[in-house]
Amino acid sequence: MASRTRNSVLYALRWDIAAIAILTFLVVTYDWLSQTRVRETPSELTAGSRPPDRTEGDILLLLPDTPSAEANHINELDCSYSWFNTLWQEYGSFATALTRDLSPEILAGRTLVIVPARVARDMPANGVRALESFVKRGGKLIVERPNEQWTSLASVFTTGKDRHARQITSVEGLELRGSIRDDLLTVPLTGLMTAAPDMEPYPDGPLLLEVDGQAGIVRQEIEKGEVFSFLYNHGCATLALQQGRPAAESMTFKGSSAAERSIHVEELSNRIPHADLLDRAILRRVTRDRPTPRFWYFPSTFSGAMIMTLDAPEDFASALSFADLAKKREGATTIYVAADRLDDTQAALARKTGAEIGLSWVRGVNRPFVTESVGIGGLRPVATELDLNAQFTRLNLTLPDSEPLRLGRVEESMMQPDWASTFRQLAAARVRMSSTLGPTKRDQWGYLFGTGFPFYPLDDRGLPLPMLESPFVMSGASLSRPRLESLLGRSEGGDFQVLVLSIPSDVMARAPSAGVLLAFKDAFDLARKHDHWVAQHGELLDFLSVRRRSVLTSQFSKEQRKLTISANVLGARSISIESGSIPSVAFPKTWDGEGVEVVELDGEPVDLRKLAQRGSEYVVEVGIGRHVLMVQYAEPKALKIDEEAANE
Amino acid sequence: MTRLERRSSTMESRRKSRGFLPHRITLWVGVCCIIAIGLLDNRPVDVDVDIPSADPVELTRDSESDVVIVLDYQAIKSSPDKFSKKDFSAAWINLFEQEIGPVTIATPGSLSQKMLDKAQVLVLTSSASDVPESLVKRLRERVLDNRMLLVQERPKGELRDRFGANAKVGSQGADGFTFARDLPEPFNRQLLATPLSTEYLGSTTARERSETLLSIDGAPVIYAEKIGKGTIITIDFDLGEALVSLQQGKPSDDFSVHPKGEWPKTSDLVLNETLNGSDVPFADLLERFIVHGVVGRYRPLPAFWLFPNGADGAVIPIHPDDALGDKATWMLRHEVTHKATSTLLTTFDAGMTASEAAVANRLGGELGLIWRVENSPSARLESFGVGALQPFARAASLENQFQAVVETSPSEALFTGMTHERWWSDDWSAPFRALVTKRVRTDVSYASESRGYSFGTGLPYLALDNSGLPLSIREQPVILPERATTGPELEELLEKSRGGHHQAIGWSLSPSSFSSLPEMQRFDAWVDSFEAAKRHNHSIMSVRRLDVFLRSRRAGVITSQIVIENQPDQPESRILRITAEAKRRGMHLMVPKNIFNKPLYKVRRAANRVGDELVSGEIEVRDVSYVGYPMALIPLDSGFNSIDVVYR
Repeated sequence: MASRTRNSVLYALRWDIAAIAILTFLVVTYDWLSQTRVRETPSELTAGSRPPDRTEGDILLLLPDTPSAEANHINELDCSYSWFNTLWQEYGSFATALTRDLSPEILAGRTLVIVPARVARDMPANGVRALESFVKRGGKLIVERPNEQWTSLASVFTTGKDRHARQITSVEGLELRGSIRDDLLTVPLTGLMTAAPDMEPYPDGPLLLEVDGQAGIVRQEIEKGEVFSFLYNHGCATLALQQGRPAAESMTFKGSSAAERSIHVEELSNRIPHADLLDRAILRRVTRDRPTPRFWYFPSTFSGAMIMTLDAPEDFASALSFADLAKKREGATTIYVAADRLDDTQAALARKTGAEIGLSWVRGVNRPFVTESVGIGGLRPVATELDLNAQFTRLNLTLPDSEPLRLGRVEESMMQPDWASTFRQLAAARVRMSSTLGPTKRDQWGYLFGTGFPFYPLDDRGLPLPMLESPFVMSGASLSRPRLESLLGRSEGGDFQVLVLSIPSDVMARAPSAGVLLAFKDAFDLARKHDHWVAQHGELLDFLSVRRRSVLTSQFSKEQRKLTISANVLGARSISIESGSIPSVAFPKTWDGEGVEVVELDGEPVDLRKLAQRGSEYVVEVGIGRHVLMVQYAEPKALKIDEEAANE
Repeated sequence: MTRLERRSSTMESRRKSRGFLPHRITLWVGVCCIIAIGLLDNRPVDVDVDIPSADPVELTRDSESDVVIVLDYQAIKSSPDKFSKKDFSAAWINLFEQEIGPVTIATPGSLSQKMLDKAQVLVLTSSASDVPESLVKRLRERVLDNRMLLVQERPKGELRDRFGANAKVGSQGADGFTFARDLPEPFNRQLLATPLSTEYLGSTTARERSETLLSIDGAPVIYAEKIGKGTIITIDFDLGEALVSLQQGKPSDDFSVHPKGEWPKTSDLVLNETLNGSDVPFADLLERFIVHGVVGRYRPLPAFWLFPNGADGAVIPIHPDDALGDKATWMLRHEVTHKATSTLLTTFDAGMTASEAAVANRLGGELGLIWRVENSPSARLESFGVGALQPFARAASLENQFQAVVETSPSEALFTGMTHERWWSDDWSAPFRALVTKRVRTDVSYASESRGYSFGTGLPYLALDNSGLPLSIREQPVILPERATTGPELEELLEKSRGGHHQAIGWSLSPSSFSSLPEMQRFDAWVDSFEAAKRHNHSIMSVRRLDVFLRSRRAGVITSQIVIENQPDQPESRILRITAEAKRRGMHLMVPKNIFNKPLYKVRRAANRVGDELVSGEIEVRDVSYVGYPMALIPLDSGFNSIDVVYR
């Protein structure tokens, strides 16, 4: 009876219940539709590739004929192109060739030939013979991890299994002076090394550099030339310093933050650009007997460069404010902005402040993704993340054709945890220079990636990607005037570095400090005081490009003590340098214990007092075009006295 | 079915349907309730909240002091409840406490013979101006013998008849001061420009044989008459109203505050537009003229100097924050490097944690409360209800806000407060009464839209209730408010402070004000302020630190007498013999450089017997200009000091 009553109630109210159900359905549906769901989109990747060969240059780098397989851990990685980065940074102009193209013709006129580990391993016997002839005629050879094939050239004394290289333990054989001796002893190493017996350090023995208590670099004289055997993998060591050292037995890193990749991840600060100091110390020693000129690191005779960058994935207005301040201080800025935060008006304002624009690749870390939504009117239930390429294109369309987008930085420096995916994505999106690596932990600062100088990141096969990575040395609240001054001072005093500073536009909201604003205010004056080029990132990119495309070769007569340098110099337009950014020529101040006596540029004498001195070198501004620079080193005094006595 | 049967069936359906009407109604009422609750959950109903209120105090104090003030609190309470008619005699307390330090406060009931005997200066305020004949007689005797200087404010009865002008014209509205005797320039001109809200008693003739010291609209309003060897000073205008309307602002006559915007702000209380942007602290100038130019003319009064360590003034940095939470301490961290401290005020919802508050405390900073006044636009609504259903909302109460902030404070107390965005109340003194319930000692809400002494002072003063009685809280107006763009800059204020006004310059600068669009000009001004303050001999301290110092100052002892000394072959000397107890180190005594046409000759400590000799040491003094009056600052030891100031 009760059941029948209930049923009749429900039946009587059936239309009411139906109406309520429909109403409920409509409300729930509306609520669901009014929330936006974001669909993430993976970005495309590209692979590394061999850069075009160059035939001119005093130094020749031999490269593998074929790319290697993808490495599963760092010890498997082909680090040959790490030498490419070294030479590109240190010399600018140098030659490359595949191993199969090795011939006496290609060796003719070279000062130094470098054979990386993989090339050394696979070098055919005739190649070794060709190099032997080269050395005997007076050439210098670096061979990395030589095996039995190299017995005729390299002192290879294998005393056991290969082991992991950890640290430089002595640099006595390099005969260095000053603080660099202590600085090099703090360089952490990566990769495998050949076991070797004890040796005496130079000049008593062949040992130039000791690693983990055993021979690291060994020198051998072969008739007129020298061979430098690297028993540790120098290429991988510098690569790990620059691009990071993955976790053991893998090619992945522990975290997503760029700083987690650094060898120095546990340290709060690192004032020493280890990778560069190591490269320079070794190359100076290797070329000591034969002065080897190069293109100076920076345009004119600057001791370094300072690049002020602003991160604006969210707040562009504050970035403009900083840029305006910089302009008033006669400085320059590069603003990395998200694709959806720059419209035509803001782009025009940025131009007024003289700021350059780069892309801040939004990864949804501190702000929502850059999306395109689908829906009707205010109901946009589905949004699709724009991939990197789309973000790049969108931002590029906002910029004038004369200033195409070339620069990029990942939001909060958050990277994929593997070796090179992020770099591969940036390269695929046409970014030509990234500035993603750097200290991101609170209070962390300095050369966490072994250098401030840009380098080509290598992919899992060891091939360079078609873009540069330009690490920053200070970010956000870690920026302070004393720290900046210390890095600038060291740079001017001999490090000769690019100091990229990264300031989030909302730094005074996220990590406010008086030090940041004080440092920003004074940064440009400090940089100029320490003879640093104050430039935008794009200007640096342009300069490095012409530096690589310019050509420099030399001949040296030991008897006449004369160095003749031929240069074909290109230049790039520059906002900060009226005459353009033009590479200058650097050469050693002394040879064989004696200084420079005469310098002539295109037949005209150059006043020695007006030559810029940078470390152990003179730097000469030669200008655009073809030039011949003649450098006469003085005779030894004992020889002069003898000559004078003979004349009398 | 036949028509009859169909009709019968329809009627039967309708009958059954009407039978289910209560069910239908119940169902739809239920649906409406659910909708209503859902709507209320999203938009709760505001519930009004009452602001707490404390009672004023009838302040009395028996200090060891030269000055006795007599107040009749009953008379004050029973004065009309209109601002223009209210008895503000309690303003005399602040006048002398600010200018001298320790002062005795008595009522007619507590005024004892001992107090009369000790008093060098007796002030009969307007509230106590109708004194019995017996007291008149005793006072007259003392004045005749020059044992006491009597100051009477708008006297009545016998005191009026015997010692005042006839006041027959009655109460007149005042336009402005027209004459001030012997106040040096430019302070004289400044005093005459003081905006006034007061009434004076007009008389048909001036008091015979009296000396006019101050005039309003041409009429003498302060005059002195020699009585025997002594003097009686009569003040015939409402000094209380003049001072209170300047310092605490002028509400409507019913003590309500009418807003210029959506809600009353403290800037709505500024007496006169001319005060906005003023570089003259008019209220303090008037007070100092009264004490040193009027009273001090006939009975020089030593006073404790206003600032620690003899500084010429103080800069009080105030940092209100409602956004950064822990990060807000960044300004304090920088101030510490300049040996300065400040006051950081925070809202209960800003996110300040106990650990960071402890850091701020260790750095010497003070933590205070920003009160989101209930019912103001800044009120923070909190929902409440039952369980997950919270259909009502009320503003977070002062109690809850205070509790939340005090729990983070290491001192478990908050001494300084401010209303958020300086929103006030429609009741003139309600916020003061509320803050007193939480034992806040100093409020810093008063500020106008421009820089300057909009409230006639930068020094903290005792706030008064609508009843005219004092509250246990002081107000310290901010002279450099957050977003002000007009008015004198800090450098100008410092210069004028050092030049004679000797002020506390409260400077409000929010730590989040650089979060967006960092203004380097304002940042530079803040960074440069430390050097500027030092250059002008101004201390930089927190609100609390100044308050503690001033409390010690009020708690000290100053008693003095003037002794005539005649020595053979020496001109007659007047000695101001002072006993002063300094409750802390770093205190100074201020004395005039001239009394009765005799310049200060030397200052010495009272003689001590050392063996058979009476030895006294001379003290070096520092000259200052105190609103143009030449004064000398005498350093004191902590504890009792007996000092002779010799004028010859």
